Amino acid sequence: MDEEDAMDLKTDVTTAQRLPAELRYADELTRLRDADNDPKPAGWALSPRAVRRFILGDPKLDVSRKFYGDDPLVDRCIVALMGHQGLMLVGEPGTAKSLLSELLAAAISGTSRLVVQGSAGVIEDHLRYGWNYALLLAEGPSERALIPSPVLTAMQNGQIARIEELTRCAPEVQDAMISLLSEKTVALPELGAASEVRAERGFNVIATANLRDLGVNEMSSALKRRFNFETVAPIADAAFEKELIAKQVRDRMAEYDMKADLPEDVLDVVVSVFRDLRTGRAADGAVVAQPKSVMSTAEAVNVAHGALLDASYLSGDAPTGAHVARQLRGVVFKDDAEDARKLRAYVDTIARARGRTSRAWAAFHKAAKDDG
Amino acid sequence: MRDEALIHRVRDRLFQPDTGLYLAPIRHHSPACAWAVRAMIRDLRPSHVMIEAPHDLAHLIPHLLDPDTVPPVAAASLLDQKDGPRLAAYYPFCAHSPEWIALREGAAIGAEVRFIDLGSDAKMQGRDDDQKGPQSLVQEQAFDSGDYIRALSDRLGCRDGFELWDHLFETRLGDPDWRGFLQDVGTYCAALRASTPSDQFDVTNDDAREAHMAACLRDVLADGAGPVVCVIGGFHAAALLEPVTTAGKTRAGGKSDAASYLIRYGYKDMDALMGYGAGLPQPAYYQSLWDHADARGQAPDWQAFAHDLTQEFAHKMRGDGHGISVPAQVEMLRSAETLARLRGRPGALRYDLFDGLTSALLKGEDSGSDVWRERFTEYLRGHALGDVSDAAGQPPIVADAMARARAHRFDVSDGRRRERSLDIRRKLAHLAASRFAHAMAVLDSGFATRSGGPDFQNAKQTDLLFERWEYAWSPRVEGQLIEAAVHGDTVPAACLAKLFADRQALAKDGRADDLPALLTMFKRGLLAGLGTELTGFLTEIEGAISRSADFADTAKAMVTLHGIEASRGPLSLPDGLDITSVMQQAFARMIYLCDDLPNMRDDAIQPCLDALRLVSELMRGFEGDDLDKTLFDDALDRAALADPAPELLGAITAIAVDAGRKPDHTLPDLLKAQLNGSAPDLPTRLAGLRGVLAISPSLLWTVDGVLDALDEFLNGVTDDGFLELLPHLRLALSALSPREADLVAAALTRRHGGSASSYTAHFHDVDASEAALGAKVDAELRAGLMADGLDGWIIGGGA
Repeated sequence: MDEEDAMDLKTDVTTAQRLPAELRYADELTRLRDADNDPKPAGWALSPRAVRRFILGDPKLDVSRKFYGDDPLVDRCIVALMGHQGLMLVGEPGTAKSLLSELLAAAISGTSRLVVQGSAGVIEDHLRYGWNYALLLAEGPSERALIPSPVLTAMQNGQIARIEELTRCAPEVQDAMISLLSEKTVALPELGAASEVRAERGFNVIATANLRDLGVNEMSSALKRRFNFETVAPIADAAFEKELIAKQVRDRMAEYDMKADLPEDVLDVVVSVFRDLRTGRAADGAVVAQPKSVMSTAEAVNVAHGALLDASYLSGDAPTGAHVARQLRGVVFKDDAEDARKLRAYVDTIARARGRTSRAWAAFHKAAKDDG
Repeated sequence: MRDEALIHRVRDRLFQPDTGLYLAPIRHHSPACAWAVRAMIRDLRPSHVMIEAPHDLAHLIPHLLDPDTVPPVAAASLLDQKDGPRLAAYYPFCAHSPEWIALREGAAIGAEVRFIDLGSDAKMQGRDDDQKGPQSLVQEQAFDSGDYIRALSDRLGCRDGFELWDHLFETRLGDPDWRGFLQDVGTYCAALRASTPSDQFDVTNDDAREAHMAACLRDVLADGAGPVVCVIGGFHAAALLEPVTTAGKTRAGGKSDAASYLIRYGYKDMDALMGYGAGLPQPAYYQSLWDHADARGQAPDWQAFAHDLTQEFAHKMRGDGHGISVPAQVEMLRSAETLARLRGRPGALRYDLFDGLTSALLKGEDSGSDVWRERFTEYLRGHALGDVSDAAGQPPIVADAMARARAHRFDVSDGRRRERSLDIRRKLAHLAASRFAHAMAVLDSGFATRSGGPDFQNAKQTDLLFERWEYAWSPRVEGQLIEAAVHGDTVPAACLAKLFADRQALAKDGRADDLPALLTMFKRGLLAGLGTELTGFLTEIEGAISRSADFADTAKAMVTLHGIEASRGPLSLPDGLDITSVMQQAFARMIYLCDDLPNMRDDAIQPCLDALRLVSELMRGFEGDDLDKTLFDDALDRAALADPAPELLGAITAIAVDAGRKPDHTLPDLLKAQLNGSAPDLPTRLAGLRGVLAISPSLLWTVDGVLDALDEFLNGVTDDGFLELLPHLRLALSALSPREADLVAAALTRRHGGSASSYTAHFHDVDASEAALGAKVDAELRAGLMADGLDGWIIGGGA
């Protein structure tokens, strides 16, 4: 079934930059399905426990862990999707909200591709249905001329629809979600008075949203009531975050022909810089001015990856703290003067002090100074 | 493997028909363990029930068994140390504690109940001295941390030791197979013990305690009286398997350096004690779980239990004005139940309920301290308060308070309300009595209320010689003192502990650095005669000052501290309490905060004016070298240059002129500039004057030109303008005393020629027709009032 879908959507499994979760982890899903003896809710491809194992890993079935951090949150997400409420994932950027939404949809419905990418340009049609206007003019309203939205398709098939960045949609578009989630029905008046699509069992919605960024729209309380909210937080454990960054950098580097690894002390610099600036407190308790820029684990992986590429392809030597410093500005501190000032203060105090005892920090300090 | 062998040995040897020893490894305050212990005792009908509790608490057993004693109660132990503070520790019992069940069940079948742990003195002395807050005589940190707990939690999908415990054991509440249950607890605890690093053992004298317990068991087994049931923290089971071969010695029963007694205890205190590693938290939850299972006589109906619990919670919340919609309540229950099924549990446990609540009620981003979770935590914690039988005697604090009251010649022979006047400045005995009355007030005992005399808290009439009190000894006073017994067993000790508890409550409220509140508490402590005991409190004040960001609070704190330092009456400092350095720190901090004066919000200006007046008054008369006046002057000059609000500029200029640092004409120049400025809103032009008057009203007539400036301005405004100004003018001039107002009035009328009395209105020329009209109006008015039944309103002679 996965292969068929892939054909339909013209995804070339061999060259696509990033495959959807159900193709990336097709083997794992198959193993889980074969070993799944627990009861399944109607319309679900896997049992809730198998969904949990898919996301949190199961060494016995050689299923990898894909989401790190808060296990009870994953439980709550799965249980929310079994109910009548939609699931709303909120939290800072870069905390893997979209990844979690994709994994849940892939495991529960077998597809994570019924997505509406929220933006200011989204209109109600993107949540309900549109028309193939050539056919509409030629034949009048007909099922053939109707183009269902991903949400409508999910309703017809009893699958999970995903709406990314819901708060970026205009309030009136968000409002369309209210009746959709409570009635679970879309009327198609153009096809006749009685024409409607009623959601098959298994249908639900996972939305992700950013509540604090600039340019987002406030959600109405009516809409909020129709969702269970889950906050995805940055990873709390430093050692674990370090391990995760190392793993993700290794995975990314596997795409290149070059064998390279970040030395331990350089990795420490990346993790510390990000954690110190994110939390506003250094490991030794010193207060650090927090920048507005997003200091997520995902950005840390970008910096580490960039530093490794820089060292391997450009400067051709072993990666050092200097490579990290050079990446940091471009990847994280885009063009905010105030953030640059805060980074300078961090470099002048914390990084400098650490540079006295660590070569990686010394290199980081020197490069950051030169750059600034 | 050694560890594996130990684990098997524990499992096999918990119950020893050959020796007659039956060990019941438990977790404190666990309903499931309590259930198993009850079944075990009813089944075995032992001759002895041995409980892991300090042996010196044994004299409380009869009181614990008294039907009038209702849990939660606690045995409180107090220990005086030669060097260092007095130690207090508690051994709480609630109705679902395995120890409580063992006590009552053991007594019910006629078994002899004994406490077999080391004395509470030994347990207290073994504790970490740095630990603040209440101590627990019950310890089991190992249940919540360690590699074994982490690894097992990971494997079973539990987030911590508490969830793991509930998942593995509380789900088995009501299991009739007590052997299987206790063997599993024993196995679990043996594994915990095997994975605990050896350096963590001695923290609580584990070796000595286990040797003592083993020796107690050996002695009783030697009598060969019958089965012996021993209820112990699961962690220790492994050490008590072969007590007969133990070499240890028991300490003479009941002897201890600590004094102990039984007190009423509350779920709130119990839950706080859990924070120090004893038992399960949120006792109301486990109590209702226990009650539910107990009423059924078997395992709980988990669904009904979760349903009732969420229903009661929602009902309570609605009563408190925090509505939970029915769909949200249904979603909470559905989520909790489904999560429990997903996690392989018979029903929703505590964490599942919390997860359900999170899913259903949190709308928006979770900051980690959500109000719903707090409310639910509070609900599951509960408020129950136990009762102690009268026979248990009163806690020492009641007797102590009574003795002190008599010693200070308060009449407590009956409950009548009496008055007493105390000559606090001349008679030492009266001062001591006053201190006692203040201390009783700190404890909220309701014993005495101050009805007159100096008010040191608000610095009012502090020169009065006599302090008047109304007092009465009543059962309510005793009740309040028993509540206060958790703080200590003498009035001063409890008073000190109460102040620290209040301080902690303040911090919990997010007001850790509330200087006025801290200083009020400090003064209460001084008035209560706590003296040098307050050193620690002073350190806290010092910390709050160093963090203070509020100019007015810091300045007032500085002035208050100075006032205390200079005080010679009841507030006077004892030798050894150094307040000068703290005052200097407050001064330095205030100087630093002076630079914020130009950026004050409107609503912060008045407190700043008050503070500036207090500081300038202090500086005016100050002659010591503790504080460097020039630093204050420089700071004010800096602030004046940075364009502060007009009120503050007026105040700062007034301070400089008053101190002679600036020429007199600066003041009228400033006021003229403000009064004759172009601010369209007339009242705002008075701001500078308000500032000047707030500092020193006398500047109005002692500095040439100030009054002239004001008079000229007023002469220039229109009648409408004057009416607009009038309320503001009155407000500004309210700083003047009546005598000062007369002075100003006289000065003003002199300027305009004449005297103040010439402006007073008197009417003497009334002709006959006017008088007749007046009489007519008077008569009509009276008739009207009488007709309305308002005769009472008429004053003065009849018509």
